[in-house]
Amino acid sequence: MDLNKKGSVEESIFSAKVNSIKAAYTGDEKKIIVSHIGELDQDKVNSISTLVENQMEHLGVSKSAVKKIFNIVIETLQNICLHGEKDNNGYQMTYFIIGKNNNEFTIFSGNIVTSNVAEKLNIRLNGIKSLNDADLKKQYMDVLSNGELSAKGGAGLGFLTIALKSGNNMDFEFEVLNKEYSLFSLQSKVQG
Amino acid sequence: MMKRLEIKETSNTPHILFDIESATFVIDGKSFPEDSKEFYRPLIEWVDQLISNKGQISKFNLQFNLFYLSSSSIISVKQLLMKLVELQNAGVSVVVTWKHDDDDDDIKKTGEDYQKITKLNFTFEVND
Repeated sequence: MDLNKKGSVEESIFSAKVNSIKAAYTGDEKKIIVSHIGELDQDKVNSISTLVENQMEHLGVSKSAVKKIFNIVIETLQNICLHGEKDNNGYQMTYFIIGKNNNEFTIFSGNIVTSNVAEKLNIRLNGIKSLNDADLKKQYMDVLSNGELSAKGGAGLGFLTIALKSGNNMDFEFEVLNKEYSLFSLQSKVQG
Repeated sequence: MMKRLEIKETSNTPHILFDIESATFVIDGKSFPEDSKEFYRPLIEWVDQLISNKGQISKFNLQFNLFYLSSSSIISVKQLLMKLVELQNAGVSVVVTWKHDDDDDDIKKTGEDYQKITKLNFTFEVND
């Protein structure tokens, strides 16, 4: 698999997705405030999170909303670092975009997962989406009480944290790229 | 055993100081390391040594002042606190001081979650 190849089916699906997100943020009161397309590592997580903090401060967003957004940003980016698939050349196809529509911030992210992982994630995320606030908190406490870090360093709290911070305003989608891989897209909203 | 453990603060990891001589045990800053298991491992091992070297200290007051914790850090800190439960069971008096900003309900809540789970003696303090 070569994900970075111009004109490939995989690259076309990926670009179409990124372009459709960006296209939705043209016009009055709509703006893309952070956009990162391409590989992610911890250094980029650090620089993107600093950029997010600065942008939010500049926009005069309330401290509690900044914290929520910052939480979601870190969980999203670290999830991708841990679980985002790379192609045969080590290239990691990802996007990370924050859009602002009036007072509403939407955090978009996408990364490549194997079909097998896509299936499991789909079940897990549908499960989380069906929970009300009290059940979300309960599940969070259960994982916190009994949870240990996986070999990859995942805590099992990442998606629960995103759901809690966004008031379960979270959506996701899997687009099949080829037999082996899908593009996993996640978005969550926070009111500023 | 090592009397003093200090780890300098970075943009994604907190400052750590565990010092027996001055009885100072502090974790402060932001915590979202790439590998939180690896980051908190030396702290947990340090407390382990304290448990096996009885008589080094009679009181252990760990002060947290964290502004941000990623979900994997939240699990790692819980594991450190569970180690403090073992220390307490070994006869050391353990107190956790959990500092937070006045308007930071999330961090305060995380401390309360830990108190509920570990049943350790927690003191909550609001930063000036």
